[in-house]
Amino acid sequence: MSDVKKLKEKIKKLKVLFVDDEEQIRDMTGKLLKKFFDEVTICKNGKEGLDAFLKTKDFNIIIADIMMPKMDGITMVKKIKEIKPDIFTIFITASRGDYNVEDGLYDLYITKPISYEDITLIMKKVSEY
Amino acid sequence: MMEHKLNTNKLKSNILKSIAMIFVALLGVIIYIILYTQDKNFKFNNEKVHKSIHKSIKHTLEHNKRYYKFLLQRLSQTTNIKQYIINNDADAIYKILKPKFDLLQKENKYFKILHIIKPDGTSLLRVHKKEQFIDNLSSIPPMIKEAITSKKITAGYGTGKCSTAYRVILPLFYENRYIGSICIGVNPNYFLEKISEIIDTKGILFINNKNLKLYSKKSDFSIQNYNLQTTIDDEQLNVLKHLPKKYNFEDNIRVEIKDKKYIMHTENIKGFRGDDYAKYIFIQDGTNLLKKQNIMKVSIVSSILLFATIVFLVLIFYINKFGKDIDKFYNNAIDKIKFNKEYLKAVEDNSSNIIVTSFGRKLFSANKKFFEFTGFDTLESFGKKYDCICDLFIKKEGYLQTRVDGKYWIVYILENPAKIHKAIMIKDGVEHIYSVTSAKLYLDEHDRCVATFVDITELENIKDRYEFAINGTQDGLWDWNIITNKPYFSPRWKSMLGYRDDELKNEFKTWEDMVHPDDIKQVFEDIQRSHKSKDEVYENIHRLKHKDGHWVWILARGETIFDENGKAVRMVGFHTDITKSKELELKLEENQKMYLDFFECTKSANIIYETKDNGKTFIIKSLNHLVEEFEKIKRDEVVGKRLDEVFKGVEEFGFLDIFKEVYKSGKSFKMPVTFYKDERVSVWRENYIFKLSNGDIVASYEDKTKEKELENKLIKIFESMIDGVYVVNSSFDIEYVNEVLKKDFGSPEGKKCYKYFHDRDEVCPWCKNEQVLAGETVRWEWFSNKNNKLYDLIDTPLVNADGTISKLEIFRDITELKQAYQEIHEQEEIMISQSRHAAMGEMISMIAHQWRQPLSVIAMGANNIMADIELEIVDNKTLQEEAAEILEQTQELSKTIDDFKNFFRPVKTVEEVLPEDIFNEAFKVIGKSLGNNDIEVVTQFNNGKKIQTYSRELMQVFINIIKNAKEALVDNDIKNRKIFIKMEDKLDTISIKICDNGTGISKDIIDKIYDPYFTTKDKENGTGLGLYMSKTIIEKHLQGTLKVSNKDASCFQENCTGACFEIQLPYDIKPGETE
Repeated sequence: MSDVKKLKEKIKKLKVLFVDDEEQIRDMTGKLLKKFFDEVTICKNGKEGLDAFLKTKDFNIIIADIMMPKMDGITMVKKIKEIKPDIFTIFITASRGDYNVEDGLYDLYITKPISYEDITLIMKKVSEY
Repeated sequence: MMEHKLNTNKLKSNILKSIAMIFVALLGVIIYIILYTQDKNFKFNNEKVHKSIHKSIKHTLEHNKRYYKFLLQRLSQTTNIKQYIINNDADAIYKILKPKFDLLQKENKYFKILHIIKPDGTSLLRVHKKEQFIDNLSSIPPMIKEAITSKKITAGYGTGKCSTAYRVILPLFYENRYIGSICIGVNPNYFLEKISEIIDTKGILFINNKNLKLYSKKSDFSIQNYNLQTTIDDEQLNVLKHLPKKYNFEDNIRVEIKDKKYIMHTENIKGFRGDDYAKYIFIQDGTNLLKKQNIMKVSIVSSILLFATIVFLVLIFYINKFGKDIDKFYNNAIDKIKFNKEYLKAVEDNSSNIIVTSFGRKLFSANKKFFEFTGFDTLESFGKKYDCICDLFIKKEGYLQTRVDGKYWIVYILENPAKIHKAIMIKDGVEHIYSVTSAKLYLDEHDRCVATFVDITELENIKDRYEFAINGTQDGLWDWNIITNKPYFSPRWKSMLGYRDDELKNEFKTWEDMVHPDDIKQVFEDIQRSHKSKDEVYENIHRLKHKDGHWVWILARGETIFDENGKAVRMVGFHTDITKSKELELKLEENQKMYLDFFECTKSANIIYETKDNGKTFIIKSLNHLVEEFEKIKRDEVVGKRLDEVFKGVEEFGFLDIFKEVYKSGKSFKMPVTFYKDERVSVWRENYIFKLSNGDIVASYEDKTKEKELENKLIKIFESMIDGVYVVNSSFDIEYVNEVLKKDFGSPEGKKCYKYFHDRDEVCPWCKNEQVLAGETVRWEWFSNKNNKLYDLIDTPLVNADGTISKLEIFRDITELKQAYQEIHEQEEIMISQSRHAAMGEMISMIAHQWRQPLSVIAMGANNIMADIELEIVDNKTLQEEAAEILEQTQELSKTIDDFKNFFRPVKTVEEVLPEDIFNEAFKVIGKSLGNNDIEVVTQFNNGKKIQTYSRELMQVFINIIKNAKEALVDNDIKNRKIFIKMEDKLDTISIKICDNGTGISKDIIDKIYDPYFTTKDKENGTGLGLYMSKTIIEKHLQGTLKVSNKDASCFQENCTGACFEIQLPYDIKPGETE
């Protein structure tokens, strides 16, 4: 069994909340996440994501874009962390410099486009979580 | 001439037929009569002599007066004299008249006055005393006063300023205008002398005391109110002293002193007013005459007694048939009686004429004058040398010879009594002309002829002058009998008017009809006037119509002849054709006027100097008003003064030497503009000096002070200028160079312009002189290798005072300017390139925005495949899906590249486009960026017209402004960000507004936003060139305008709260105006 398969076994039970406003990216990224995690909740924007979290509050990982209509990713994460501060947070943005994000607010910060190394890094970090 | 006729035949026949008784009775009666009438006879004869002398006196006076009037007329016709009189040109008159005066005085020492009088009576010129010309109006002699008042010819004795004289004053007219008078005067003694010559008796002059001036010489001797003015001898004085006490110049008075007997002849001399002015007295020694008369009486009585005795004896002899002998004796006796007639002899001897009696060829008797003339004492001595008086005749055509027409001269005269016979004989070496008359004496069967020779030399001379005047000038003669009103016109008179002799009738109307209507009044007036008095000489200028229609100017002159009652009976004169001189005169007058106008009105100041001392002294003669103005002097104050006396600065000025040189060489001299200074003026003068034909020097000059001052000012201006200035003439000679040029190019001394500036030996091929001298202003650039300077040259024509044109060239050193310009140009290039770089960066950023999403999608596609592989869940279907997704995204990328490529498309030509389409294209480029920044774009397009423009540039402006708005909205963190675009068709332009709902542009910077490199952003985000380039593109390339404002009220959205840019573009772009 490959390393990735082993890794998948380790993390597949974790519950993931994925929020992105770009449809095509949402679809492609959602498709990828579903290959690793058994349960992936996909939302269009921050507000929708927050609502989804509040419904169950049972999420281990948040993967979110920052720049989004209605509610941006940072606001959403801040609100979720108020309830579940130890939730593993990954921001995926177009460019890092565009936004002011406090270091403690996230665990990983990935710039688009996401490379396969980024994917394996995410898996690794989550497995260590 | 007396005629003696004694009818001897009748007497003889009477004697023969009478008887002794009758003879005795007759004898008694004759003796009685002679004795009885002896006294009466004497008186009668005395009266006759007196009358004869008196007639001579009158004749001589009249003759001489007429001669002087004639002389005056001739003088007044001297060429140009009237013009000179009008111009008061005493010098010119003097020049003309002085030689004539001298000649006249040489002929006659008593001729003493020739005087030109101004119309007011003051003197214009005394030819006889030139230096005396100042007259006081109040002391004008009465005679001149009379003459200028009456404006008629005035003649008579008059007392002048210093002397008494017989004066003739002739008024002068020019075109019916009285211009002055001319006067001549003769010492009264002249007439005395003339009369004395003729009557052989010395004359004495007495002048009325009231006519004697204080300073006249007054003698000790006076009769009544008359003072003796002639130097007389003792005998004459003695006679005068023996005159009756109450003697008041009665005529024909006898004075006896011891054995001497004198006859006094007096002549009353009238002044010009007809007053008693002077008296002439002629004392004739009548002793001999009276003695002869007594002897004559005795001899007549004794002769008659003798005659009676003889007759008696003849009768006896006749009776005694000794008839023949008696007859012979009788005849001899008669001869003796006849030629012993002492009385006749005395009369003959008293005659001024030569009287001879001839018997056949032989002279029988002759009078005193004959002996004076021939120089012989007796007839015998004459007879030894000559046979006949005719031997003395000078042979000349038309004069008497010994034989005329084959006849003996005296016979010829007797047979042709109607003819005038003249003979020439030499007296004292001079030819004298005599009029010869002859009469026959019948004393017996033999003819004796008396010939009288009257000396007419002087008359002939006068006549010659008349004849010369007529013949020499081809004058036409006329002769008008006033009584019958029948004129005679000579053939020449008629030919002057183009007619043959037979073409014009000798009628008064002939002339009258031909007179010019404008002249007829004056000519009749002049004729009438001449009929009034002997003193009036007829003279008139009038026009007569020529046969071919033109007018002939005629000078008519003539004299009126009066009968004994003073009635005008005849007029004789001649016409002179003066058309040419009249035309010349009119022309001269015009020239004169032109000259005066020229002299006075020309822009030059003119001074005429008279030259004295052989060209060493110059006297101001005349000047015009400009001289008065320029020199601050008065004409009257300087005329007559010396050049250096009036113009004190002339020596320094160098004038005197020039004058001398001009006088010497006769060459005119143009003196360049020179500084002149004296106590009155400090001025610059340009003089032209030349010599007139009469030796006068003329200085004609202009005042150049203002020009010179202006010139000096100009030169000061030129010298203080930063620009170089130089003036060059058409011959490439440098006339002026200012200091600036001298500093760089050195002294221009003697160099032509091409040598001076270009170091060339011939005219530069690029020379602009021709163009500039033709009047053009030329601007060009020239780089001088001498000083490595680049000049902007302006060449302008400069009209000089003399009409020539020079070239004024101004050198502006533009070396630094050019450098600065080049630097700016380079700067602009940099800016443009910077702006291009910025645009490029902008584009890359925009591309990044566009590409970010498709790239992410592609990456995710690949990630999915990679994950499938790692998770070993690869299946073809999924792979196909992923690949399709990736391909779809690459299409997106490719489309983006096309959009940008479109923007960078190098379109350099004008296109016809809809502005809306350009906006849409721009939106494709920038739209994503706006969307990323959550900016809504609101458009309102109300336009449908296409415009002609450079579409890519317009697109660049759209992108710039929209990007600017986007940044403003994002930077200021505006909520509900909006950008409004509004397009609207206006009349001539399309209006495009790009506004936003931001905070607008701060007032502090609104004026700076178009400045290059001005930016509110940090260096990473802004170059500061966007709006600068937009402004440049719209206003310089697209011929439109770009304006900015805050809170545009005309914006279609209520919330246009921010900045508002308005672009206005023309529908058509004009070619050639785009930079």
